[in-house]
Amino acid sequence: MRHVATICFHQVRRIVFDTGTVAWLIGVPLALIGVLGSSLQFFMSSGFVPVEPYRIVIAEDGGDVAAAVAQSLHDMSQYFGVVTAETRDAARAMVARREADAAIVFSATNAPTLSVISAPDAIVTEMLMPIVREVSLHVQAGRAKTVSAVYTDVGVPETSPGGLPDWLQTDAFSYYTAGVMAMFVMFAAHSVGSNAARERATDAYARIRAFGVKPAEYMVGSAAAGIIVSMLFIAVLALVANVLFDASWGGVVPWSVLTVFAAVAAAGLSLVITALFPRPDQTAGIGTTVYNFMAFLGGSMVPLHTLPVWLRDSLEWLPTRAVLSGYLKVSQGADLSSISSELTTLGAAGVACFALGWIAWNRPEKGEAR
Amino acid sequence: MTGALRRIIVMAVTTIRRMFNSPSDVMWMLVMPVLFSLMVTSLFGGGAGSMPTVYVVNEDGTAFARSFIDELAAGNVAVRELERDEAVAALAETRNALAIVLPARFADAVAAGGPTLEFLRSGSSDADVVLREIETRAKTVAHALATGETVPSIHVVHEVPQTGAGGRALSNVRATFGIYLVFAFSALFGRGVALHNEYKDGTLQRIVAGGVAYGEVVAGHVLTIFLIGAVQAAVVLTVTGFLGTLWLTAGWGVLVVTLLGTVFVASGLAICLSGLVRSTMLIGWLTGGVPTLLAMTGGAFFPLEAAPLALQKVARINPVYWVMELFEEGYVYEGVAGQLWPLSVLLLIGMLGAVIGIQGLRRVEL
Repeated sequence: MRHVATICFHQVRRIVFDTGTVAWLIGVPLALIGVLGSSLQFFMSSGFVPVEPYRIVIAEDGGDVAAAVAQSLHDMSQYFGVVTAETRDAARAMVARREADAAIVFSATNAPTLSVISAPDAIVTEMLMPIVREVSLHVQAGRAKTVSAVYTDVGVPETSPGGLPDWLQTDAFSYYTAGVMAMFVMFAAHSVGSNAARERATDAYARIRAFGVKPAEYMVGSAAAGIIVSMLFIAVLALVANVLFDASWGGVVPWSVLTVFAAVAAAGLSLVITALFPRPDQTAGIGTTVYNFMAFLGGSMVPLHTLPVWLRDSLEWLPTRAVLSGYLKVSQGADLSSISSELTTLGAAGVACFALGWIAWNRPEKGEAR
Repeated sequence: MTGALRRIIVMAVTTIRRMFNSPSDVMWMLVMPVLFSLMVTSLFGGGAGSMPTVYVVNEDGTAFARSFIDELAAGNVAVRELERDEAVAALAETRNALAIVLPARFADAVAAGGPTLEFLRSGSSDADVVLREIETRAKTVAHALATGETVPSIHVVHEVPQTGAGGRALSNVRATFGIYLVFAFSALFGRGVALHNEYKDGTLQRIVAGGVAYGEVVAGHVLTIFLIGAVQAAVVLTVTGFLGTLWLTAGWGVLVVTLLGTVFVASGLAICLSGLVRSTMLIGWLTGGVPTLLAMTGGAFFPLEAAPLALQKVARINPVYWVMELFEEGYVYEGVAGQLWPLSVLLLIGMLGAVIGIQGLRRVEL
């Protein structure tokens, strides 16, 4: 027990007093939260207003369809400023020269086409496409004037598969505080794993073993250090995010329990990677790869709002995803029973990873005493 | 070939060959960018998406009703015929769906020139533009049956100003380029530490003791970084190109200029880092975090116009911002002609980085 405690204390101290690691584990997440929180609010609310209205050019040779679009845009002067060009080519050229943000042209051929000419993925494109489609529908529906329509609303349960769950209806700062925390808690735990791999690859581990420490004791000490470092990381980041970004964390009890489960899962996963890939460069490289994938699929980088519903629903078993949804729920006032699925996921991941890590770590190396 | 040049090339080629013998380097530099870009493009880009479903409740059962259903099914929708109760139940379970009821005596109403359609909608149907398009199409089909005149469908498309091609394909190219960009910066930043590792391991001192000028070693280091960037770009773009990314949509010239600017500035910054930072661990941390941050604040992953004004202004000192300008000018706006200004800025940044880095490397004590 004394061996385990000493190894654990040593590993925690190495991380806590290493300024580079602390800068990486605190500075980078805070920068990410700041950038993502301020930049991606657009994806999470309908309140986006551009600094200056987008410059839209409409070709005058577009007939009544283009005129209908122009009328719609005139009504949204906060978002769009409309100018005209004589021809379609002139309108397109204005966008190419960046004198306008987008052009709308109508081509009345055999297959009438209303084109939005703009940069792909630009916000102006995302805003214009539904408006233009809407206007085109109005024009077509107006022409089909002989048909009457009767509408009957049928009730749909609130939990329909396509709906956005309550815990996802939050602002970008709250979302990314939880998301970045879910990502970097893995790196925090793995900083201990990487140290352990380095010690194992050098004489340090051999010297420790020479003093009678068993491999299992070293493993348990390192894993405990991973859990403690992860919890420290979450606590410090939560505190700083609260001060800087006004992040709220809900009840103390559910937050604390979730933090322990998240730390155990992160340390367990790091143990598996360290045990299976013991060379220091492999431990670091594969860990970074795995955590980046998990962060991406778990919603830490790309908002879950933008993922396809099937993917969003099918990746609930990922530890990063469970940490993210758990903290978001807790921040909205959820109690322990409301985050039971997240705790189950993290608990199961922790147990499975520690079991696998134990087996892999305790495989005898050539010539090694047990 | 002079002896010095030969030695520089040998050092560079040997380093690159060794690097590509390392599975973790290959994984990080070549496999990961391809995997990530595949993941992003398959999740967010391309394809027409799933075909929306429309349920039709045929309470009329006449030939007119059959014509209506056949005509509706000829469009880009999946038509399923159900009883009214079944349609209501299906709407409650299925997202992205609409039910159209052809009421009894539909045929008589069509013959009289004024048919009525009943639409069963869930709470969210009204907000779904795809469902409203189906609704409008159903009305135009019924109108055509009643009057014999066809209401032409208006297609709404998105086009890129420079090429006139559809925006979706270029969106995939942009997303893949953004991911390649991060991995290019990471890989080259990571290589910046190689010279310090050689110093720590003692190989650098042995090379110099063997008669190779230190300047040649630095030149070899610089050449290695640039060549690695070139090889990485060639491999990643070729593989993603075979997997469907349309890199040549704006022509070879635009692609070459874009890559030249990207690899040059990333190499210059990597050399700068190599000259300014001695700690292997610190370079490791910088390699892990800085490229992602630069990409996010430079507009590689999401449009900067959504960011606060201050962040938009600060972005102008970010090299990734200029790389994305280079890409946008080439692929979206004016082609090669428009790329000259951002390319000049990138060459300047790269050159400045390389000069600072080489000055810093001169201080390495042997």
